[in-house]
Amino acid sequence: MKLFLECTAVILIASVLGIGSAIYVVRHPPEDLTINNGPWRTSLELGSEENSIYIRSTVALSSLFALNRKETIYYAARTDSDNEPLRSDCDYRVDGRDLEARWWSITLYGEDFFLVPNNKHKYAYNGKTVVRNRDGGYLIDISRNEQGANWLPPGDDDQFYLVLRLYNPAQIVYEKTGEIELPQIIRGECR
Amino acid sequence: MKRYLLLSAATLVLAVLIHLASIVWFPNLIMTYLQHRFQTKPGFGVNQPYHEPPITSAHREIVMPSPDLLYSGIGFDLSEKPLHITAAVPDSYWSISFYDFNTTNFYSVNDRQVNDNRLDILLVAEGRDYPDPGSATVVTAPYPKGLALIRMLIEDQQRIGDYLDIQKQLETDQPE
Repeated sequence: MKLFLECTAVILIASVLGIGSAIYVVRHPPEDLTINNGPWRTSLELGSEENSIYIRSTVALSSLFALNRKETIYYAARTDSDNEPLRSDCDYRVDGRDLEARWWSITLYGEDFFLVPNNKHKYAYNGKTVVRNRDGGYLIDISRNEQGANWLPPGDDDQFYLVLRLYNPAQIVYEKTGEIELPQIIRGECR
Repeated sequence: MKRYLLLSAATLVLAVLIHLASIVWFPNLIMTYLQHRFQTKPGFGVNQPYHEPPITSAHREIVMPSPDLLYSGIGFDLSEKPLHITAAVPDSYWSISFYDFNTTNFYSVNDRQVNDNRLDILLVAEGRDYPDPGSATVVTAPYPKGLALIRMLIEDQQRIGDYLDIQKQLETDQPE
């Protein structure tokens, strides 16, 4: 009886530790697997056949069926340019210019990694749909109040995420992934 | 004390094994779950094209969908026969990517890499024989089961009908 209880305890504790640590690691990938560029982060291992088991699991959770790096580079932002978490009760301005890729888009997602419901069906902007400034750049306002020529509602979750997709990126994106100019995410007023 | 140390060591070793097993099998669990979800969708069939309606916030199957893309998928099973896939390819961005059951992307091709705006692929399982592919490009899947995902850029929402027509030209058949 004592042995049975001991074995049961070992299995239960090991399961909690093993599964719990696996969930934690998948939700918090090591820093050396990511490349930072201002508020944006990416991993050139996304979708790669050489992916480590950890990257593969992280991708399955948050970026399932991501294309490999030969086709697309994905940058994700969970913070603004001051490294503060992106909060739905704050206003933000995404200030950017055209990117070195055949096609690019910026999409807003809720905490659950899905599109945020809104009656205007505003979810993303890309190189063809974004309204440009006179100098060719663009400003995208993120706010619970509709505003500006380009506007995305952040929804009711506490936080939100932005994903920047570069399809068929230029060679320089691979060479200077952490250095190329990417949009700034500037926090305005918070409520 | 010695017994306590032994139990602690056993717990730790088992925890490490469970941790590694969880990490390795997590993608498979996700694929199994998705396969189950998609099998309940009207029009979904193994080795058959499935066309997702234009993406909105109502889409809650696969995380981080792009609302700028039109998606189609083929849940493939090559256990018995290879799969012949043909599709019309527009002039705008379009791609097909193949994922194995570990969610690894083992092959991709985009609109700039096909001839005459037409995709023609024979998908075969590794180590299996297959018939003469003719003009089709042979793509070898590391495992018999997986998913092909087709992405088509909606450059102009006013022309969504044209894109939906192109989407429907995705076809599959299984040669003997």
